[in-house]
Formats: sequence, structure tokens, C-alpha cells
Amino acid sequence: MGTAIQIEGLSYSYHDGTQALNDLRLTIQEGESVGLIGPNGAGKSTFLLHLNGSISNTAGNTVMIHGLPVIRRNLKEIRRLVGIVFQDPEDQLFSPSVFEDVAFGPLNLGYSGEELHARVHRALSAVGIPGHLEHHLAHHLSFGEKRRVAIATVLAMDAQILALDEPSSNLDPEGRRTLIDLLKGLPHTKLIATHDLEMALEICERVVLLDKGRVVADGPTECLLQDADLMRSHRLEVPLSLKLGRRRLVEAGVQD
Amino acid sequence: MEHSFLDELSVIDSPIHRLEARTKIVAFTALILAAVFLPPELTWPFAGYLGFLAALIALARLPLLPLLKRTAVFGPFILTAVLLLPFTRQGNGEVALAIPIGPLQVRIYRAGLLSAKGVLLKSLISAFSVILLVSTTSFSRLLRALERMHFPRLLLTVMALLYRYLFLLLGEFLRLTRASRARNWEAGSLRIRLRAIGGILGSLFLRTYGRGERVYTAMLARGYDGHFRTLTETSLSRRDYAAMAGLLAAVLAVFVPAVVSTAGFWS
Repeated sequence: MGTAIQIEGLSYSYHDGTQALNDLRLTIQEGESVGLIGPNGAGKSTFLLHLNGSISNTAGNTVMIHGLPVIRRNLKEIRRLVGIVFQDPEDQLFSPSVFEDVAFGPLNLGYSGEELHARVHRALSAVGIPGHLEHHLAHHLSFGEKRRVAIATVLAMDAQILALDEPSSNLDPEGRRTLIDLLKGLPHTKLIATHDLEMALEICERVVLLDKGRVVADGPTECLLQDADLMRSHRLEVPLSLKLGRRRLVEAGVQD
Repeated sequence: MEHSFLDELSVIDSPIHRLEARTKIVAFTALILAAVFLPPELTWPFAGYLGFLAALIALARLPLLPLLKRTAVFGPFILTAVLLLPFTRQGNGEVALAIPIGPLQVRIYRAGLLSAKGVLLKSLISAFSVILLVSTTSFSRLLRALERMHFPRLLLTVMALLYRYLFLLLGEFLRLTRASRARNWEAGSLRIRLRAIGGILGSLFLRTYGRGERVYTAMLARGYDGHFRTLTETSLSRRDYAAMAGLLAAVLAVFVPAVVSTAGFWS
């Protein structure tokens, strides 16, 4: 297993001078599932957009994906490797039909004919979208379906790294459950920016806490999310499941 | 929020729906062109085309009411021309009817009446043709067919995005107006209401602008490089060629005698 993502001192400020990322350092191994947590405005989305060069103002080897620096020359390969699933599926699904949306990436990679169709079908069935929805307009899908089609659009490109921005937002509990089970079943390297800490507990073995554009904590999910002081000082809170779990242990007379 | 879509009837299964989009585009374009060039003095060729369209509509199993509703959209444009032409188009000056109103006289010209008849029938045939085309073909197939017929790529992209986002925008607009109505927008003075409309339009513009940026980012993320690649679609089958030949023959069967009979070509 090699290194999937390596970030060395990434800084970024918006046009208005807001410092979104500040000397960010992070290494993620292939196959890891990492939760990216932090308060609003911590720089989570901005960070994700750096992974495929959607935003970039740095030169050189600041961001490396599978050993490739994210620079203009490598963008085509980088964008195949890194599949970003945006927060609003309406932004990601822009074609007149589900099929065309999923085919968009592979087409840009030069696939056509049988191979293209096979890719689209594989991706859609991997996310559990039945074939009869293929020719529907995204507008007619349920929100959960839209989100899963959005994931299919990057699976069809053979992405190795999935970078998801708030994947469980706006989903009903059943839609959220379907999504979590789906993500747990995908073997990809996953980086999930989210406020849904319960989901992070379930999917990610490691979380990275981002605040003011810096990594302030990085460790095993359960360990880190239990740290009430750390959570509170970054506008987060200990997930209820962890609180309850600990209380039960205390009630049962077990030392924590 | 449910909205009606341009091509919501295109999910019906019928012999017309099953034709490849290019077949239909060629046939209906031919029909429209033929109708436009028909001499308005005649009536039977127009009746023939309307009958032909009625037969196709029946064959396509399209429900009549939604179809008529769609035609009604063209109503204001057609009616404006049809109602004004008899008064304005003088031709050789021959007056069909003069209505005295006080000291003035309103004249209806024969040439104008003839033009009005032509405009009315030609518009109806064109409207029905277009409606039949979009009601039997899904929008994405239509776009792909147009692309294969070398329609400008940029325009097609704009149409595709419009089709995708029009109703999303409409939904956003409805939510904004509902939110302002929830705060008693209608009870306010005209000034306040106008200001609210300004705010709604402004925020709609900003949202649309932001959406555009995000969609573009999402396109780039999946390898978009300014060049739209599209799927290679089904090819024209023998059935399509046969249908195209049949439809064109029907168009010509009316057009040729009609033109010949008025041109006095053989006399």
C-alpha cells in the first residue's frame, strides 16, 4: 500500500484575503477511510477542491496524489484518480439524463462504445440505481438517488480516491443508511468532509480535525471524538452514541 | 415540486416514438418548409397537412388535451398576426368589408384576409409539427440527433443546460416568492413590494451565478476541457429510412400538386 494523498504545507487565501488553508500537512495511505471534521468555515470544502486541482495557487509538490504532484500537466490523470462528490448533487448532475451524466467523465477520458456502456452500468449498479432510471432527468430523482448517481459519476471514471463533501446532508434516515452502507462497501481511499460525526464513527477509522485552515488533531476516530474538551473548543460535540456508550459502562460499574 | 416538462409525453411507446430522432427532425422540418411555401389561396393542401398531422398524432397515441394546451402557448403570437393583418395588409387595395365608425371607416382588405388565413394555417401546421416532434422524442435524443446533424455544439450545450436547470431555477424562484409571501409581502405598499421583487431577482441572479460556477467546477472535476464529447447513438435503421421516405413522400404528394396548380405551369 502506497501513499494516496500527501499534503506538505498547503496554504490558500481567497481573493478577499480570507485565509482558508494555512500550512496544512496531511498524509493518507491507500485504502484508508478518513473523516474530515471541523466547524463551518474551517476550510474542509476548500481543502477537498485542492485534491484535484479545482483550486490551486501553489506550484510544485505541495499536493501529491499517488505520487503525482497536482500541477497542470498531471490534471487529467489526477482528475481520474480523485473523484470529488460535491455537496449539492444538482451541481454535479448537469446532463439531460442520468446515463449521460455518468458517461460524462468516461467520455472525457476517451472511452466509447461497449466499454463506455459497461462502465456506466457498472457504476450505477455499484450505487444501487436500477437500470430504468438511466434515461431519467436528474430533476426527477429522489435526493438520495441524486446523491448516489453523483457518486456513480466518479466511480465510472475508476477513481481511486473518493473525496466526499457532506455526503449525508439532506438525506432521510433510510437514505442516509443506504449511503453509509454503500460507502462502507466501497474499497476506495475515502476522505469524507462531514458534520455527521455518527457517520464518521461508522465509516472512518481515522479522523482529521481541521480548524482555521490547519490540522489541529489527527487520530483514531473513536479516540478523538471522545475528547469532549477538544470537540467543544472547535464547535463540535461528542457524538451521542459515544456518550451513551460510556455512561452505560459507568452504570455497569466498569471503569472508563 | 413537480413541473411539467417539454418532453414528458415522450415516454409513451408508439411507432412514432420509436423512430430515430433524425428521421423525425428531417420529416417535420420538410413538412414545416412545405407548409410555409404553400400559396395561401389554396385551402385543400393545408387541410391535407392538418389531416396528416392528426393521423400522426393518433398513431403516436398522444393525449389530445395536453397537446392542445401546448398549442395554446403559440396562441398570442399567431392571433396577433391574424387579427392585425386584415386591417393592415392592403395588397392591391381591394376592400373586402368597410365598417363605418362615426366619421371614420375601418377597412378590411382582401389581401389581408388572405395573408391572415395563410399565417393562421401555416402557424398551426408548424406548431403541431414541433409539438409532435418534442412529444415523441426525449430531449436528450433530440439534442444528440441535432448534434449528429452538425447543429452548432455551443448552442446544443446551452440548450442541454437550460433543459436541466430551468425547472430548478423556477423552483428557486417559487421558494423565494413563497418566503416573501409568508412575511406578508402582498400587504405591503407598492414601494415595498417592488423592492422585494428587486431583492428576489437579485438573489436569484446571485444563486444562478454561484450555481454556474459550481457546475463548471464539477464539470472540470470530471475531465471537461471545453470540448463536449457525446455518446454515439443508435444508427438509422431500415425502418427509419422507410418511415422517412414515406413521410417525405406524403409531404411532397400534397406540396407538388398544390404548387403546380397555382403556378399555372402546365397551362
